[in-house]
Amino acid sequence: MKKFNNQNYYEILEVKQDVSYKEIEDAYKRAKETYSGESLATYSLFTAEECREILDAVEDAYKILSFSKTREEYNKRLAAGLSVENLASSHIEVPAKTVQPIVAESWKEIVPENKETLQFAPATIKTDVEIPKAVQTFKEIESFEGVEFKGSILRIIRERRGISLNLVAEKTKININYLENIEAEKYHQLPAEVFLKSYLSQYARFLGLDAKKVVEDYMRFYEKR
Amino acid sequence: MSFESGDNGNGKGSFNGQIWAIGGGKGGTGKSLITSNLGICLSKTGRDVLLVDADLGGANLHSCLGTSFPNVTLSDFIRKRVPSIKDVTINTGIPHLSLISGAEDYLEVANTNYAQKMRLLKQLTYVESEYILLDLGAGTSFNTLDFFLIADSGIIVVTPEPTSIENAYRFIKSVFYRRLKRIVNNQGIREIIAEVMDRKNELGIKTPIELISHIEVIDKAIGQRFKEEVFKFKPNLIINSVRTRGDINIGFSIKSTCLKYFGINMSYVGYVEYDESIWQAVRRRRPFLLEYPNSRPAKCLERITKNIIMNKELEEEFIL
Repeated sequence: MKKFNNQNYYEILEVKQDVSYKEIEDAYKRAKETYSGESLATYSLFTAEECREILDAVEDAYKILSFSKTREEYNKRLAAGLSVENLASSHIEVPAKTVQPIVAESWKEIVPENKETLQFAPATIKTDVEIPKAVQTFKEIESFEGVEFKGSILRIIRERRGISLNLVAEKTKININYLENIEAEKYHQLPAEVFLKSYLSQYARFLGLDAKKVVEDYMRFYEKR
Repeated sequence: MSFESGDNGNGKGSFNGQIWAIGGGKGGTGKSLITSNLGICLSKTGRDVLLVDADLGGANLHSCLGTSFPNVTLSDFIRKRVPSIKDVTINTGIPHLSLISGAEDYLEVANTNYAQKMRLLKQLTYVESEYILLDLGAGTSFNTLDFFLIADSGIIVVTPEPTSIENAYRFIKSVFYRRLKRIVNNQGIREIIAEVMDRKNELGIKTPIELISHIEVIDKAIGQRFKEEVFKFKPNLIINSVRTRGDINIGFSIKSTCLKYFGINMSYVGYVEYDESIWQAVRRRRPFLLEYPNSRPAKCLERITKNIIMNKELEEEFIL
């Protein structure tokens, strides 16, 4: 138990060290809600200035713990009792953030990454598009520049992240048959365009991809069917 | 909580049940309503439950249960008008559920000390219930605080309103400092604790967490002891009358704020939805859990009861 500015990042986010990225995400959202507005819960114990301090600490913690690369480095330092003060600024390159950078990372932990699937998936799927290096290299921060998101690519990305289709269906509430058909590019067995676009967009967001780009790319293939 | 075997006149007296105390500072947050319905939830599982109205001066637990104003109350026992605690125990008409009503503010007047309160609690255990639920009523009197601290589970009921939350913090703060004060004899440290209760103290100590760090510097052993106490102290939090998802989230925010401010890790065990059915049941002086067993608030309460028993917290996926 320490004053909040002496706490480690896990303590600041009020989570255990072994939590999933999803839990880090939840903890961050709750902390933001608690300390950034005019929450009924804080004003009588903390001043606005103190809330801002907490919030700054929360932001710092989130920045490091929400990416596997920086989080692993942080854990190492924590275990070794090293200084973690200037971790963000000098020792680790913090990946640039996109609109929803965390979502994909978050789900990694839910289903443990399976080596077999990782090796298996890219080999069996025939694609016209070369799989970008970033997707091939496990644990690297992904970049999808030049990738055209067709069904098979979406499936590879999903499997890379160790996410089952069931989980996607459960979380997005999209019928699993549609998801299967989207990935299998069974264009004639998909719902009406307006629904398809909405599903694609949800699915893309779930994977942490640029939803607009995914819809555009996918619909291009769809129209050529 | 277990008490040693004692003599209650019948030769029985060991208790291995649980004492739950329901408090929370402000009046009108639904403490009695929640106490009575938690009691019913527990009794439905076939366990014997004793409800005790420790809301002295504002006793109304009997109304929540639909029983008429009792002829005998806790005061009769304390004033020795009746020989046994069982003589003031009323049958509520609900299976496995009995009640001791408290109508007069005898405890307050007599300013009972800690030992006397412990003795009273021990007497309560002679009723042979598996659960004893104490409805503490509003305020932060020493009686309220001590009963809260003695209980196996302290439960704080808050409504999502500024005044209720402020009072809940005041209550937690009072309980917290009372607990710390009880474990030190060192007058110097007691004075520091008293001073820190005022936020504008000269020591510049703003939060209880800072207080403990400060005391650790002065006396490492006491500082350590405080830390252990804080760690062990895990009150349960219930948010009553929620109407929105935001109201539910206030529970998480209160939990976080208490952790950051006091270092106390509360258990957010659940919330009770606002519902017209509760109001209707209250008017009819019937417990809503019996009147509307399938209503959403009833389900909320069942989950809360389960969480307290299982030592669990509200989980995101169970939010209705």
